[in-house]
Amino acid sequence: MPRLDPSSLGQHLNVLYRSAWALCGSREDAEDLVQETLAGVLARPRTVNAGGERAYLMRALRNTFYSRLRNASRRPRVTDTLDDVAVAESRVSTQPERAAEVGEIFDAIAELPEDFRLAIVAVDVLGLSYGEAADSLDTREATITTRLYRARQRVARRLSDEPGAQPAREGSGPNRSLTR
Amino acid sequence: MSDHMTSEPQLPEAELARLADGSLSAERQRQLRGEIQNSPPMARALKEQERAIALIRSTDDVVAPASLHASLERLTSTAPAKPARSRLRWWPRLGLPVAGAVVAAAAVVVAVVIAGGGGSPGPSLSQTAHVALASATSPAPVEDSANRAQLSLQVDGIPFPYWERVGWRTQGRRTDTVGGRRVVTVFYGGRNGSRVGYAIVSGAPVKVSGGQTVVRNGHRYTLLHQGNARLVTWQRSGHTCVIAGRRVNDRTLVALAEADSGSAASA
Repeated sequence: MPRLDPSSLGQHLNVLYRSAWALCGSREDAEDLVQETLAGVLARPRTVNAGGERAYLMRALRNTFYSRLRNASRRPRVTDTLDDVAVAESRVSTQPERAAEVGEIFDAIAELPEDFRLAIVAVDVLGLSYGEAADSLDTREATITTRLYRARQRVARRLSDEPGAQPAREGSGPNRSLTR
Repeated sequence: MSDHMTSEPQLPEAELARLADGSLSAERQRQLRGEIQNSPPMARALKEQERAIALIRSTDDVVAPASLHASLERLTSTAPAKPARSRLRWWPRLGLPVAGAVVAAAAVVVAVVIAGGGGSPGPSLSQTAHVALASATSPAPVEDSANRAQLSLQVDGIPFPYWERVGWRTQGRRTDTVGGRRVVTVFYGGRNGSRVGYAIVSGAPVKVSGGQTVVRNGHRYTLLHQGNARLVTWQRSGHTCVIAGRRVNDRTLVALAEADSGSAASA
């Protein structure tokens, strides 16, 4: 099996960062998560399937994300800092029908239940195929598809202008559950 | 997992998700769109799927902060020594009947290496194929009204072909930046449910190593595979093009690649 070329990781850095932001709901946490993920990946030579770098990184990102959540749950909880709260990016999207800030979009994803969040990050943010997403998340393709549908539905409703379209929040905030 | 929010249990959720991102087979797309016309709940559900995709797509220009790039650089410089051959390998599947049929019709050169151009090294062929096999993230481009053989979408002046008349329906597209280069992919669905991604890489051609090379009408096409997917790569006006798919054979791939010069493959 081919070895992962460390110099190729830079090509995935932006999309990995967006994925981490969507998982965490915070730019600062995303930066830490990506850095920790890359440090783990680069700690020793890795082998990946040809063309499977992104799927490999998704798996590594997910594992690091879970590890961080577990560690955080063991530490005393602290009040959010101002930085944690002010995560919305100043840039405003110009599409599609309604301009939603980047921070709002990633917040909407970050508020999803874990399984839904991972599915939408793997397919819609990271760009994996359904099969690759299923492999990297250790589940079936059919399961990914259903989770993706529901994740998109919730994100669309969460960011909808229509009254009554917004779903009840689950696991919102920085202390999201680890239920799988 | 239960979903307390979903109130339309009869909706074909999986198919609606795939329809929204273009990964549903062309035939089923047509059927489902017909059903949606008579079902406001399905139409609403599809609209929500498409809206979510568009919203997420709008974040594509968010880039990692400079501090993260610097961290990666530090980490890379201290990473364990790179193996002698770090570039992903491509192993040709020699001896397959399908490949044999293609080979019989053309001159074959094995293990050809096409040198890359100057400037940014750009994406590897593997990365380009990976993008070509991913899901569509935007609606399909429309036919070029001035030239019915091509779409209105171009990369560095190189247009994508319009193949609907020969059975390959345009399903969607996506744009990625890989290795500092723009890679634009248009997805086509065949009548038999097969799907291919046609990617064009901006800038100088990317390096191609290995595979089987087929020469047709003076054009050189290289056939490779990645897992269960197959792909063909060639150059158009000095730009690397890749067509990749999972349920297509080499003959179809080469015919599609040739179709740009007029003889389209039937789906």
